[in-house]
Amino acid sequence: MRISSKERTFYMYLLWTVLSLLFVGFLYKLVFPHGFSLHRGMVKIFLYFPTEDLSSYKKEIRWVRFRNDPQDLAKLVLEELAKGPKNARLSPVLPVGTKINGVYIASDGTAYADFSEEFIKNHPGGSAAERITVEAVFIALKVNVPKVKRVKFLVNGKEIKELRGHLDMTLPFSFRLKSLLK
Amino acid sequence: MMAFLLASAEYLSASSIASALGGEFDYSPYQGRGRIVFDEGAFYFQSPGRAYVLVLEDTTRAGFSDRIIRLFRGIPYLPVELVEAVFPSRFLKKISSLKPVVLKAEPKSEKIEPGDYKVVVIDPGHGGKDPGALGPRGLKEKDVVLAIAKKLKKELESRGFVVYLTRDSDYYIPLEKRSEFANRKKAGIFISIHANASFKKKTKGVEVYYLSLEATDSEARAVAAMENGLIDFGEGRRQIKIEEEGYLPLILGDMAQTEYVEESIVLAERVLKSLSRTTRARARFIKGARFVVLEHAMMPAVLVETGYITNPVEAQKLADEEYQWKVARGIADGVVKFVKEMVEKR
Repeated sequence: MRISSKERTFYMYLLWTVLSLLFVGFLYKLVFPHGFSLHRGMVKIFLYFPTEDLSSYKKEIRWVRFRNDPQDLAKLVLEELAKGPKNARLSPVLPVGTKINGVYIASDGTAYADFSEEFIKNHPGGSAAERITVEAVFIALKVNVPKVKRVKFLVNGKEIKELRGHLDMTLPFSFRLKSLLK
Repeated sequence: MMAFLLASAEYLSASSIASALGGEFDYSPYQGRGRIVFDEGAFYFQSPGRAYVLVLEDTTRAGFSDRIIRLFRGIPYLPVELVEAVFPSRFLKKISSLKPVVLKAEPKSEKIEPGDYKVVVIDPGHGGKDPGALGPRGLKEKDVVLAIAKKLKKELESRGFVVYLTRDSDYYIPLEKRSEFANRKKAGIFISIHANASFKKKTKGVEVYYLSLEATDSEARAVAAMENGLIDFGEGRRQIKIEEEGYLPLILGDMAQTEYVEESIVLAERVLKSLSRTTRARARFIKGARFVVLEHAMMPAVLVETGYITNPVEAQKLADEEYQWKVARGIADGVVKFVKEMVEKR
């Protein structure tokens, strides 16, 4: 049987295409060894924002990049918390522009959450807003980072005595989750 | 001296213990706190009060004395039982040469005359460099609360109270100084006046707060001691260093209000109720939290959030003179109700 040169070119292209597809498949397997889905490599976290009358907390689910280190995870959790609620009827808990410098978790379970100066500068003040801020940060860390037992607040790496003239910020905060999320 | 013959309890003066241990003794009457600092550690205490912390190189002991650590002629006296229970025997040997003083036993139930609540200190929140929370059209919490506090002073004076304001114009006072002022005036009641803030405009209503000791479990106290530089966690082993300056503001400061928390809760309830009655504002709740301004108060003490300045409707009301009188009347009604109840109880 004779194969015309046209046919030969065709088969060559076919072979080349098949090989390329195989190669792409190989690369895909290399990059995504477990296949691909929307939340691959992501981890689900739970954030709690207060209702508008600040009477109770409602849950929101977020996906963040998986972090093996609890401290990195804690930072991501607070960054999501700082973005505020998706539901417009819930209240934000961190002041506008607050950045998270980092979270350090000591071996005794105390999380040192370090915020930028906006944490104080842009805070509305008032006993209620201060309480909500402190509680919501505690809840977010406690719920998502199992190691955390209590939270101590820092601003630019330094201890703070007060937030806006109400709560004593010198001690770490610890609450019973049940009493906050009833 | 005859009175002492009737007495039942033995005490050692803090100054004599200090000299027996070769250390130094120090007492702040306005804060009601004292300390004995010696070579191997320090003993911090509340007087008059029950709270104490002993910090030694190898251990820290905190707790409450069964008998009150008394104040007699300006000098704190520690119950002998307390000293024997707390100090390790090597210290007791040095102290054993001291002769205990016998002070008259504490009355079984502390009898309080109506006059004990006669002096009220009102603290208008914030002031000066600290505007407090901000409302619409440049409304500032510091101005609103000062106006309310002045009206409350008049209301209470007309009902027979002696009233002092921590500030009577626009200047800043550090938080601890405000309750120290009340201690110095020997006030029977301390009321800090505030206006609330929320992240959302819709939040509204009145709230009354008291000092809560929620986070002062033993673990938190140990952390507190660490935080204050009292206990330094070395690798695996606890090392202790004694702060040169200052008392234990956080540990003992919390406790200054401890003895009055139950009364403070009753006061908070009465004030919330009457305040929402005169203003028709929504009574949200009474709640305990760690307020700096209440921590050092040695009397029933509450913080009144008279309304949300971040809520446009409530802000307008708070700026209104007539409404401010309603707030003042409401708080005064609550105070009167509280005092009547307390006096009847005794």
